[in-house]
Amino acid sequence: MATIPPIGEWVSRGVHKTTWANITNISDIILPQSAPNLPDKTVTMSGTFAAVTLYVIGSNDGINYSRLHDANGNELILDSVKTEEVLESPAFMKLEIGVALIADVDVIIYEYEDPYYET
Amino acid sequence: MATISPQSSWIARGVHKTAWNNLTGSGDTLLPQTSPNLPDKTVSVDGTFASAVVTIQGSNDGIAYSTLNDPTGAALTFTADAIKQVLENPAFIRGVASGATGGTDVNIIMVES
Repeated sequence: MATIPPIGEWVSRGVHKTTWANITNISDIILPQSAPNLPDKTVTMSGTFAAVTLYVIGSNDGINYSRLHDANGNELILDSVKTEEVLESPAFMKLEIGVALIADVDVIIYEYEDPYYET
Repeated sequence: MATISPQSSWIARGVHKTAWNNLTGSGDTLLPQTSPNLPDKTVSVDGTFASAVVTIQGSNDGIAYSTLNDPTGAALTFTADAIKQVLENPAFIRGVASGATGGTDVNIIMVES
C-alpha cells in the first residue's frame, strides 16, 4: 500500500501536467490535485496490468467526492490504455481504485487555460 | 423554512467558489449568485437527501428562472451526491429543492472560473 501524490509540472505557458505514477495496488492512497483554474483537462492512463479500473473523481470541498464524466456524460472509467476529456472542473480531483490486478499504471492529466484570458 | 445566502470565496486566481449550505426543506429560499463573468461552472451537491430533488436554475433577469442543463443536455437535477458541469452561463444561478422530507440536509457548491 503506497501513498501516491500528484506530481505537477508546467510544460508550457498555460499548460500544466499532473502525474500519479506507479499505481499498483487497490489499497494505494491517491492524493488529490487542485487546478480548477485550468478547466480544460485531458486524462490518460498507461502501463501494464492484468485488470485495472480507476474512477476519476472530483470534489468542491475536498471532503465529498463524486465521479466525474467524459464529454459524452459517461462516468470517467479508466480500465484500458486510453485518453479521455474530463467534463467538469472541480476544486479537487483524484482517483478511486476499483480494481488493480498485477498492475503498474500511470495516470496523467494535461490541463490548460488560455494564458491570455483574463477574468 | 430558511433563507440561505450564497457564501462566496476566491480559492485561486480567477477561481471562485459559491456555497449554499444546509438546505433542509422544500420551502427554503436560496438567494441567487451572479457571476456571468466566470463561465466555466462545476456544481456539486452532497449530503443527506431523504427523497429531496435539488435543481439548479438560472435567470437572466433575476425574476424568471428555468432549469439549467449539463453539457449533454440533461437537466441539472440531483437526487444523490454528484458533481456536474453547468452548460449555460446566465446572469443569476440558484438551487431549489422539492420533495424534501424530515432529515434532508444538503450542500450545493459551485466552482467557477
